[in-house]
Amino acid sequence: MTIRHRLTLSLLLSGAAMLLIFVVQFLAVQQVDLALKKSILAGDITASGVAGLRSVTMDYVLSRQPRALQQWQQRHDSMHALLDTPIFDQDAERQIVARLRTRHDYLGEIFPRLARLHTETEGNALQREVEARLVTQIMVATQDMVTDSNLLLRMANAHLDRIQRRTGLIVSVIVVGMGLFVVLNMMFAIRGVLTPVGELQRGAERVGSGDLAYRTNLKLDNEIGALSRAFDAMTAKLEQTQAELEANALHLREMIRELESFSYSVSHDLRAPLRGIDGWSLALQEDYGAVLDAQGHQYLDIVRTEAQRMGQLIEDLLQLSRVTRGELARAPVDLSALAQSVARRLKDASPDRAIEFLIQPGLAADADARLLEVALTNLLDNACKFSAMREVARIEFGRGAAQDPVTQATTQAYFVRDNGVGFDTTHAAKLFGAFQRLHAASEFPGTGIGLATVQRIVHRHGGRIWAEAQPNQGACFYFTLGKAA
Amino acid sequence: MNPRSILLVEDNPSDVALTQRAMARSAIKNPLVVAENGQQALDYLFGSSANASHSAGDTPILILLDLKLPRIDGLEVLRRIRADSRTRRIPVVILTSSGEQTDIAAGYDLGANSYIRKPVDFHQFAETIRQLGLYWLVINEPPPKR
Repeated sequence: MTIRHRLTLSLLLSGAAMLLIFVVQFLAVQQVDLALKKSILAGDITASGVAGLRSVTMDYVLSRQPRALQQWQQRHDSMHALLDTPIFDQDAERQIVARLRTRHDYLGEIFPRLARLHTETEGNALQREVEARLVTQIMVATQDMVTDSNLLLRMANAHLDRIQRRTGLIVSVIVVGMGLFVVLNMMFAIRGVLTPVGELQRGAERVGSGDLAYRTNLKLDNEIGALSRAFDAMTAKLEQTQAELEANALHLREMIRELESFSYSVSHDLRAPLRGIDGWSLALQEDYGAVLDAQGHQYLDIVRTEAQRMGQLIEDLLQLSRVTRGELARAPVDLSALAQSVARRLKDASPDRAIEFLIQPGLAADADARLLEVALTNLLDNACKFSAMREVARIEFGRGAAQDPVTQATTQAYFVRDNGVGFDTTHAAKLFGAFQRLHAASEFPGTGIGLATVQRIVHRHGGRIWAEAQPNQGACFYFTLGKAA
Repeated sequence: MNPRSILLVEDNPSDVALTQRAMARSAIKNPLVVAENGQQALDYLFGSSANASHSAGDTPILILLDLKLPRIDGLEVLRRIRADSRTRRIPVVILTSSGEQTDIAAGYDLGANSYIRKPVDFHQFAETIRQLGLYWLVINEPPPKR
């Protein structure tokens, strides 16, 4: 049975119980009403009926007034009316009423005899004796009537008592029955609802903690059973989806492994022939230099330069792919110290140039130190490269407020600023694509991969990178490092 | 007394010739034994039915080991060299094109003495070979012969 059906049933039962109580009370009120009327009538028969008849009889016997005779007749008639009231419906009552009527009729017979006795004869001893006997008979008859009407009164009162007791009993039974029903309903609610709901909750917690093989399996034919089945179906679907995701992830990992082995092959297999081209070109120059003219030597120089450039390209591409792979190992990094060491290396690489590095001290970030070193090396190396024509190259690394050109928001960003050739910002979007170059390779050597690598590193940290520049006014690269920066 | 040999495990004949050229230029006098794959290298070191005349006792003073080799790869060769008491102490220098972190880590884990990435530029390559010879053949004290 569903919970809805049970609730509807209990509602209907409560309604029926209340209706029953109402009906019982209504019937009881009617019966009480009847019994009260009977009681009142019995009282009337005793008090105004019989007692009245007795008193006017005595009145008449003492006064002999025709007025008293008249009164007696009135009393007798009204008593008749009382006895004719069709209210006593029980057999016992009807018998008593019949007895009363018989006596009343008897009274109606003997009183006129008494009256006649008075009017027809003068008072002698016999007459007095007949009169006394009649009066005695009247008294006896009325006494019996009093007894009978009192009996009626007692019966009505006893009936009243019975009605009250019975009504009380019926109402008590209904109330106790309803109470019992409420208690059973509560027990059902606890056993049939709360317990399975608790199990469902435990199931949800287990599934939530990752046990997707768990099933609640509540074999109930109510709404909670339906909920349990829906929950199990959902968990099954979740389990299936997770299995598919895991299969996909496995597939992706395999693909990544394939890609890694591919880049491994590129690293190994492409560099070896390049080394051969370079080495044997040099061998040709060294061993057969005498038979080559100046142009021949120049051609071989070009062959070697190109081979080395391709070697550099492969290096840069491998670095670009390497910064994409592997876990991002965030840890506190002293960016100032990192920039200092990169700057020192760059200075050592160009001992004949005057390069002034201004590095803001105390810059720290929560970032991947290995990747940040790659990024700073690329940015500072670019800055060196594009300020080569300045007498004193001035390169700054620091942190300050800058406006992100995409979000238009002013944020704190790291920056690398130089006083080099700069560039036209209309091409700024091209800057960060692989192989994109804004300057001729003859003017500034490079593979065009460095800034793409920097961008990937910044993006892996959840940060953004952009550049500001003007031709011949130097360039400034801003970057952020996501949440921790 | 003849200087002890250097074993070069390298499958690329151009790289073999360039190495020989670079060694000649650095005046390294030790004879260079070349194994073109992992199997040949192991046969040379441990002897085999195919090469019965060679005595397994003739251990090289230095092994230059490429990683990517046909049949048995360089890391497996290194593992077997380090697993055998006859060859355990021979200095092994991995000389390869790969700069992969996993290869470098695996090389050291298996007991390589050094890991050198071959540069593309022959001048740099020749300089690398010269320094390598200077260090391992002159400066470094070799392990005692068994």
